[in-house]
Amino acid sequence: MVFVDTNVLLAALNEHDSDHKKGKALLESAFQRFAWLYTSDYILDECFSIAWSKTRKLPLSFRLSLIKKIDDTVQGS
Amino acid sequence: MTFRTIKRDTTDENFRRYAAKLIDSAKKEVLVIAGEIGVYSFPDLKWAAERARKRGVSVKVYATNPPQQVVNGLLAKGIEVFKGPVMKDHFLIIDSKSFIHSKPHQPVVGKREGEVYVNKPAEARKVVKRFEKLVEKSKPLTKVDWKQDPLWKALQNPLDWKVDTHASRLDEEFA
Repeated sequence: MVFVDTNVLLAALNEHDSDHKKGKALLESAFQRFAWLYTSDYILDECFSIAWSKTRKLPLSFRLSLIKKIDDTVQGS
Repeated sequence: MTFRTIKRDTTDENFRRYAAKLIDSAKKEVLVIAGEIGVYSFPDLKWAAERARKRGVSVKVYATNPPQQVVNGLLAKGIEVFKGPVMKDHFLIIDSKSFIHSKPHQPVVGKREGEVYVNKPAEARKVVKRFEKLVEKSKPLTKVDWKQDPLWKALQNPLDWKVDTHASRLDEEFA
């Protein structure tokens, strides 16, 4: 069983993260090797909180649209 | 014994409320006859289905055109999925006792209307037979195609967050 933690999700989903390449490679490899990946509401909450707090200097419309895109991704997955 | 008409409303809230209540009442089995399983995009119904599975309730879905990403999610929760010919009328059947009949509608939010039958076993059994006949002619969907998963798709086209989130340093930052 593979449990996906916040840092991997953030790095993989944010192309501006300094560890984006590493996070993306890790998550892609997990997708290819395991039938199911697991995470929890707490991890997702943490992703939303970090997305919201790290973008606080950016326009509100951008922040809301980012949260909506992340939500669509995780809800649909 | 109850029979009620579910009236149309802009967010399908009436429909969803009745459907979630019925799913939450399920003790053994939930059967669904649907088209594209559009209702699964409503979190309240998705969570009701998850709660049912956690209670050990068997959930089977017959659909005419289920998107693969929805099928992936259903299979992950141990829900059986069958694909077959088009059925205009859609049903949600609970424990062969109660059911919702969703009348044919355009596949958009705000158009759902139907009837809810609570504790009507004779009528419910007829719908169960209909479900069984459809399943006989259908193809069970058992394969997960993770390349259709929204998370996999997001990995191929990562979002532009415009800031570095320093993911590897989260522990230091939140310590």
